[in-house]
Amino acid sequence: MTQIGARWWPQDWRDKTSGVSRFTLDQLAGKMDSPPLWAAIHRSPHALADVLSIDVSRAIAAPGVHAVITAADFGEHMYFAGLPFSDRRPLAKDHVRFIGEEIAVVAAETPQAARRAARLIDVRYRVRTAPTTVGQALASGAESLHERHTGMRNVSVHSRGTHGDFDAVLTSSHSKASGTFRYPRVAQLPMEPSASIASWDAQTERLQLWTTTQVPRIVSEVVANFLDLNPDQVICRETAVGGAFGSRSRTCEYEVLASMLSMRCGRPVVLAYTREDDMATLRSRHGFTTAMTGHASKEGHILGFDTTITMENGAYNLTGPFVMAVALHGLGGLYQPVGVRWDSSLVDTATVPGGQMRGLGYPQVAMASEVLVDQLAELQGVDPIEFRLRNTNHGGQITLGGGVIGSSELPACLEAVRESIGWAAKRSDRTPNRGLGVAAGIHGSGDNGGRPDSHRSASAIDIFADGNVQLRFGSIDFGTHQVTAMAQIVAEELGLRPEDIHVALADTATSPFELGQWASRGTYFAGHSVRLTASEMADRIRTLAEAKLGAAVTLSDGWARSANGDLTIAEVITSSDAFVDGKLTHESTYIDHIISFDPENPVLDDVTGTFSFAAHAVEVEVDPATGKITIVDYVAAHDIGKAINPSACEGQIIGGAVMGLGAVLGEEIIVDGGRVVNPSYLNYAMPRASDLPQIRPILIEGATDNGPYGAKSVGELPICLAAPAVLNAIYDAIGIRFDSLPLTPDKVLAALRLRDGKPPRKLKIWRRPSRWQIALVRRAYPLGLQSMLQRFGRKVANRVEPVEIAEVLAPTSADEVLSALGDNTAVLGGGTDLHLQRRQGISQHTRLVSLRLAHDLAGVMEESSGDLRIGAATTLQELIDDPAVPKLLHDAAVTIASAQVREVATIGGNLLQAKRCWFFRNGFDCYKRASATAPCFAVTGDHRFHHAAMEAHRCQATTPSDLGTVLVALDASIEILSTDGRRVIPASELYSGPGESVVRPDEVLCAIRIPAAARLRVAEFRKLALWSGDFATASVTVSRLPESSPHHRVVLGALAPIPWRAIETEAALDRNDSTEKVLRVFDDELSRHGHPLSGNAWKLDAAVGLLGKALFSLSSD
Amino acid sequence: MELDLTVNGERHQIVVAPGDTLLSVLRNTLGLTGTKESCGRGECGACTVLMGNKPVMSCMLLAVEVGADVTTIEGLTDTSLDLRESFAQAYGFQCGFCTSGQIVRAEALLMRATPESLNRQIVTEAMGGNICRCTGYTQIVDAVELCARRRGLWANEDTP
Ligand code: FES
Ligand code: FES
Repeated sequence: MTQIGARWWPQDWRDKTSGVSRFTLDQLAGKMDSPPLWAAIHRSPHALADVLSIDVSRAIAAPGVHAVITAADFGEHMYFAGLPFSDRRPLAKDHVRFIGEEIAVVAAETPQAARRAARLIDVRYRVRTAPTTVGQALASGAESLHERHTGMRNVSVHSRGTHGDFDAVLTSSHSKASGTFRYPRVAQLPMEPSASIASWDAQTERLQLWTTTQVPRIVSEVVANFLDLNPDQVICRETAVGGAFGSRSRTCEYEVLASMLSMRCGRPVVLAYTREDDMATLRSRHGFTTAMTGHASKEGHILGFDTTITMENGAYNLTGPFVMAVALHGLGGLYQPVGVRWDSSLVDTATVPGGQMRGLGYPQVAMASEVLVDQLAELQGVDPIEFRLRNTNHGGQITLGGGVIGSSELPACLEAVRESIGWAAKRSDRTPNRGLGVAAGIHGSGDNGGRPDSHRSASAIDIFADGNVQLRFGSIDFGTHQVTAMAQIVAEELGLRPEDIHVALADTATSPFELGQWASRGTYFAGHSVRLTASEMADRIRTLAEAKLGAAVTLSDGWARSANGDLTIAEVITSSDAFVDGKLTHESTYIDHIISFDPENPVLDDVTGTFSFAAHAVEVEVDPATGKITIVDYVAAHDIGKAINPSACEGQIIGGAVMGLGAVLGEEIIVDGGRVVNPSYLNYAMPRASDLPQIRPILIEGATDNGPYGAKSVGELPICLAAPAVLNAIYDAIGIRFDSLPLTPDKVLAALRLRDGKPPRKLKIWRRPSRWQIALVRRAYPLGLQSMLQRFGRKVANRVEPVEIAEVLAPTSADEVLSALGDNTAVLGGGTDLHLQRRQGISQHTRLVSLRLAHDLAGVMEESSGDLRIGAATTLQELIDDPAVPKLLHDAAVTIASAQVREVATIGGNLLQAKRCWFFRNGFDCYKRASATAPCFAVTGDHRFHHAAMEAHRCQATTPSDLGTVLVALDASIEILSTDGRRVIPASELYSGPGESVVRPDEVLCAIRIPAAARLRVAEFRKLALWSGDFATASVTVSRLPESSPHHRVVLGALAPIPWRAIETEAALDRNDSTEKVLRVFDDELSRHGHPLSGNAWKLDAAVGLLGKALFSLSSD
Repeated sequence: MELDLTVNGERHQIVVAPGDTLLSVLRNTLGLTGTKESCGRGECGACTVLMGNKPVMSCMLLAVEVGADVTTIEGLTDTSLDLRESFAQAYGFQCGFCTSGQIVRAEALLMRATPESLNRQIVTEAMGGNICRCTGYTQIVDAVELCARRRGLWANEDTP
């Protein structure tokens, strides 16, 4: 084999690295026969309501509108189908069951016209009390979302049973370990936003579709069904797809809706989701609460597990029942258990429905079982890796779910990570707060997906007169490098190079039957199918050539070679009878003999092409000062049988591990009252490049099994083991067993406090009359005040459509800027917050006055006095690059956002940016956004990170600017210009409230001035953030003059509504108290001024930790 | 309003609305669809282009505010061939949706780097504004390192 196992460059590298590849919306450039219409969706604002009437008349009459469709346009019995328990219609009919559910869709000439019309649709509701958490859904008296047949309210599926001999588990059990584990809802978050372009041609009665999918053929079928067409009338065309991770493994709403509209209008229709749409309305991973007990025998045999799983279904079933089944197979597959017992419930909540995501249920249960295995090992006094080695799988074993394990290299995986991470040395020679952890896992390669035809995959090869070779395959490559692997296989069989093969994907009109990439079937089915077709094609060529040459033939380098001479492949085929229409074609269908489908039992059994195994080991460090967890090293060894392309396999492992680590360290879809709070990258703590170390993959080859060339799946398992490996490592580091993800610093600090026996902070609110009123109001919030305010407070926040900009002025001086100000006018610096505020419906300005050309507002200048004057329009990058700028300002600036943002964002804009409260920003009708009588959602909502822990009033937000904090520690002052002249205020007086400044609309912040003396200050800035570049969850700045009277400044950011000086701590520092004493004074000062919400007292602890770090650095400067 | 915009060395006289972003002008007016939109909020880097030699998020920049020549991924096809090849060799992409932004960002870094000035940490931090959901970043940084080494920009002390 020369091509199989070679590190060929990606087949599509030229197009993907030059911007030539066309993703769905890129297809609009030049491909459409007529200009497209744009679609916009009218979505439910309620989590649960009966729909009394839908009036679309005003929308239809709106300018530019071509069609509006509602549930009435679809057949009565149409549901997203193909799975048992289907219950979701293409558009909501009599009920809406989550915020964002689609009710009607408009097609219009422009995106703006479509959105405007969608807002004109009038829906009357009877609102019901929505159970938006599992707890609420199961409570007695809760409203039911659906009629279910389990006999239990809001339980869609209830499954109880055993695999294997569970009684034997109990009889032989010698040690047992239990826990209850929570895996959050997380988003797949492919980078390409979901989009479909549908184009109906009435003449040919064909619909063409370009769409973000993993499964073109299934989309054709389902769309055809909804539109009452034959599947061959719906043609999915090839398009690049920017990621999927399971989210696009079934037909999605946008595909059906765009198609229906196009058929209606006879024009191409584009339906494109925004990032916010994708994050708030697409099918995220199901949240699991898994209570589990693991049993081991006296001899150290892992006997099995007993588990009760509560899965949050969201509002509709979609794939919930499948996820549930797969989750259980892992338990009966890994190691050699004798029995598993389960009791699992799929609970309906009035939230966005869950769906498939990489790993499908297994990450959630592996989190529990692999932590329990560690605990069993500990109980038996055996090293965790050794314990797993004693229980490892072997070839020929039957899983408890009935799957046959062809081969297992799990021992080699465990040994590889043990060696690579330095297990023995590091476990014996300990570094404080560092620890090592391991986890193992199992995963299949393909399943029946609830379809009787899922064991088939066909492919076709065409060879043209000029010798060019084309592979036609009905899948889509959304980033798995399947195309490259297939090209390598064709090349291997035909004696060519992969780059000689053109791979044509997806096109359901021209490719033979293939279901796409899901359930880790990509390599298994494509590999078998393409190998079969290619090897048969090779046989045909050889036979033809042998007839001509009269000798045995081998194929290499595009030649048929024999002892009697050589022919090019083109010469061989063109003379063949089968050479028709300018090509020789061979098509073949691979039928798998393992994967089968039982219509009696449509939910999956544990049958798969081949099982793969893996072991991951991780080294973590826990910072006891801030609660931050750092991944120091991560090694992932995978039993992959044979790597068709090792680089591609390594990419899958690294990418999967990092996605898994995201869920461990920060990712979570946060829902409040049914509404997603954090539908943006900013508010979703997924890993950025600098958040994690290099992940080190190890490929374990050699197992022989059922896969093509021995290959096993590698796409899904890597994501499954991060959670247990890290949890085990943290226990090793600090002796705490966490059971709830993500492990954000709040949870870690709270647990450390508990471990160390520190009582909760005493705040003595009763001795602070100024806080009584606030304390009282906060207490009344959950008791009904919030819902009252929500009912009666004025609602305006849903108006989030950006207003059009009428004019952008670019005056050349500060004075001209001033005179350009006026009604509806905003000052435009870098725009990185202003444009976001416009998108969020917060800024309604129609005139912008740009500072770009105002020469006297830019640049850093040393004045003769020695003062430094920084023009407000100076960019953050200019600050960073200018050696005259104090190091403190530099140090703070480099932590802000990204290099690209820092190139344009200005210091003035940074100081004046609005509060970043995620309720305020993301469309909640809050006090600051809607009206004075509306509630602050942070009081009862998730306020752990970006809300005040001291001194807040009605609004709990903080001032987001890091520079605003450090400037106070630099004794800076702010120059503000108005037509009345120039006023100068201390930086400490810039803010009147959280992200609210004293700069009036008729004024311009023109410069920041740092006095000569303060430029000498020695200083440290310490910031805690959820990801590098995020806003601070807490920051501490300390500065002192390098003199006998140091005049310390200690300024806190993100703790109070505005930058907050710790005066008493400053005094202690000025007195030259010991660091220990200073920290005590600080801790005490925080207790006397702190007034945290129920979930953010940890920020006060974090501040103490940050100050400790800052003082340490300062003393060692 | 009329706008004079030089993109990839070609001068365009075009009509834009005051609120049009550079990204929409590139994609919709000029048909340069290599630059991608993933968030439209300045948070992901998929839309990175060069303004002069600065990497900027084109989704957050009004076209009328552009004060220099613009270079997009299409404009780097030939001049950054070695960087593109490094992305291929190191498998610095999977789905490729973030890749235009990654390459433009990386080129901005390499363009400004001085001989032997880069190391793993600098590159990793510099690439922090470009989200990639597929690769887990390791191979992206590998790709930039590979190219930097070939261009003599890599500090010698840390061998991988
Ligand atoms: S699309 Fe511009 S930063 Fe995300
Ligand atoms: S390669 Fe898919 S997002 Fe980066």
